[in-house]
Amino acid sequence: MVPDLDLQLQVAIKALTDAIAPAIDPANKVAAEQLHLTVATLTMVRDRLPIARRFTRRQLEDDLAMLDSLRALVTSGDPGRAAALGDAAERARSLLADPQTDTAELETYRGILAEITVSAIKELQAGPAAPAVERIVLDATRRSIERRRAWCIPAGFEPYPANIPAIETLI
Amino acid sequence: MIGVDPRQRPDSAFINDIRRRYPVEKEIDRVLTRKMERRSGPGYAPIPLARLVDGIDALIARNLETSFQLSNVRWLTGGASKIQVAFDLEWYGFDGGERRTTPMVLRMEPPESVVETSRVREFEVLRAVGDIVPVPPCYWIDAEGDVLPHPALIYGFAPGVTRPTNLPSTQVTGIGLNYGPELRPKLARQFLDHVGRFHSAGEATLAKLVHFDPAEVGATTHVIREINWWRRVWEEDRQQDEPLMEVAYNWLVREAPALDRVSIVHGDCRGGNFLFTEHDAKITAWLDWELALLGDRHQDLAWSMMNPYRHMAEDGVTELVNGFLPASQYLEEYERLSGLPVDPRRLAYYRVLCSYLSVAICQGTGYRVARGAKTHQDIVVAWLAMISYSVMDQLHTTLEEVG
Repeated sequence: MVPDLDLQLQVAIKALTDAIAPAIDPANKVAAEQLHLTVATLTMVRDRLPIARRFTRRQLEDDLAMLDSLRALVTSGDPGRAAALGDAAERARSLLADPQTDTAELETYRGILAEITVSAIKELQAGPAAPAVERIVLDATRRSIERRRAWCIPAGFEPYPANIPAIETLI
Repeated sequence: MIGVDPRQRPDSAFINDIRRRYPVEKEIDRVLTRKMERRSGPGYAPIPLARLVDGIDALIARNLETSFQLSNVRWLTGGASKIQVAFDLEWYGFDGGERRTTPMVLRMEPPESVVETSRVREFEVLRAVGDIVPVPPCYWIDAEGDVLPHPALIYGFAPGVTRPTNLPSTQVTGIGLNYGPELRPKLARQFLDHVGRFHSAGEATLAKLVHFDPAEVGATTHVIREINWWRRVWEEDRQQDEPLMEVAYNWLVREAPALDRVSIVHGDCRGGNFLFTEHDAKITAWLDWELALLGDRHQDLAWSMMNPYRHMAEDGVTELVNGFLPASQYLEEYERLSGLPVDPRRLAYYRVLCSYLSVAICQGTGYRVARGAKTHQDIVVAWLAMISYSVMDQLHTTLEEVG
């Protein structure tokens, strides 16, 4: 399709850079800073948009793996909680299996799953399973954090970006 | 599948439930509750400079009996949280002496800020520490936004820069500053000396901080209420929850250390939050005291040593914390200049707390204020939210290290 999203972003960035930026009063530092960040934001979106669905799927897969590990701790002691967690995991699996699920749906369900997962963590941390829960969460979040750091490399906040794998290798 | 977000339009039951679960300092409770009560109100709309001139005029007239005149009014950049306007005030001073011109700054809240804080506390701490370290003179406050669109204060315009002009940082909010090999040792020594000075402030100074709940040696009350502060912010502002934040919260409550000495904690203690004059490399003013509290000195040390504020020296192998010194030397210098000991266990604890609160601010509030279009620079705040994952990695790594 013409124009596709990439082309639309490309031309918007070019207009901001070539036509709008020179027209800004150099004394207006607020406008200059916000334009600079606008161009940087659009450039990052243009770069990340083609891989956004893959990225979100990998994140949801990691969330699901953590939930499955936590479920193993509650199965025997609390059948009601175990069933609720099982339903949440099943819903995540069906969304991942459905080719029609778009990125926004996946991201929305990630939010729901996070609330369900944290609710289970709260309950488990009040009991004897607390050390095991802590271990599961630390193990399960390592890759997800690294992936999000890689995603945000263009923001420039990483002191040593070369130490972080390229996002394409993590999705 | 997409439900109503209770955080975007919170009702009183939602607000009060969080208040009940996470009790905080009285003044912090006031500003956080006000934030939530205004959450469903309008976002930020551009404010004409003339409107602010009227407000500044009204605020000064309320406090001065002699005539005055504003000129050279202009917007200021810098920082991610407050609206800032510089101006010159022609007046007779508080002493009614000769007519003079004093450069000043208006610092005003947007409808919601990436850190929701108290102008009363900021005004109070600036006045309290003025005899200890250089800070801008603080003149007037509009605590409730009576004459200005939002709560604000007016302080003196201090000379200096936050970053070397010949080594410009490409980063927003002064994060990741490299001062260069010439300035670095001169600024490092002053920085650590000044930090030690407000950390060891005496009773007379602490007594001026009447809007700060006291901290008590031997107790954990100060840190539990601070954990609650940021847990409350996380509960009020976040888009979605994070399992690691839940684990960190539990760890912080479980491991809270008793206080060994009451200090004034700056709260955002790092390079980029002080001004210095380049010709003589002197720190002229400490800025951004809005997160100040009474608590443990290790919090400021841990904050200044966070990963995003580090970089390699020119040799490519020596890592400098806060853009100044290798970690061990940084701490030794602090101990030597302040006379206060550094406890590695406390430092590690506060590294976890600083990571936790930084994620709450950048990922939690950063999301919420940008989503609600609440600030004058949503694009800066949204960009800043991307620092969360570097900090989350620091949180993860530190929790692994401390067991």
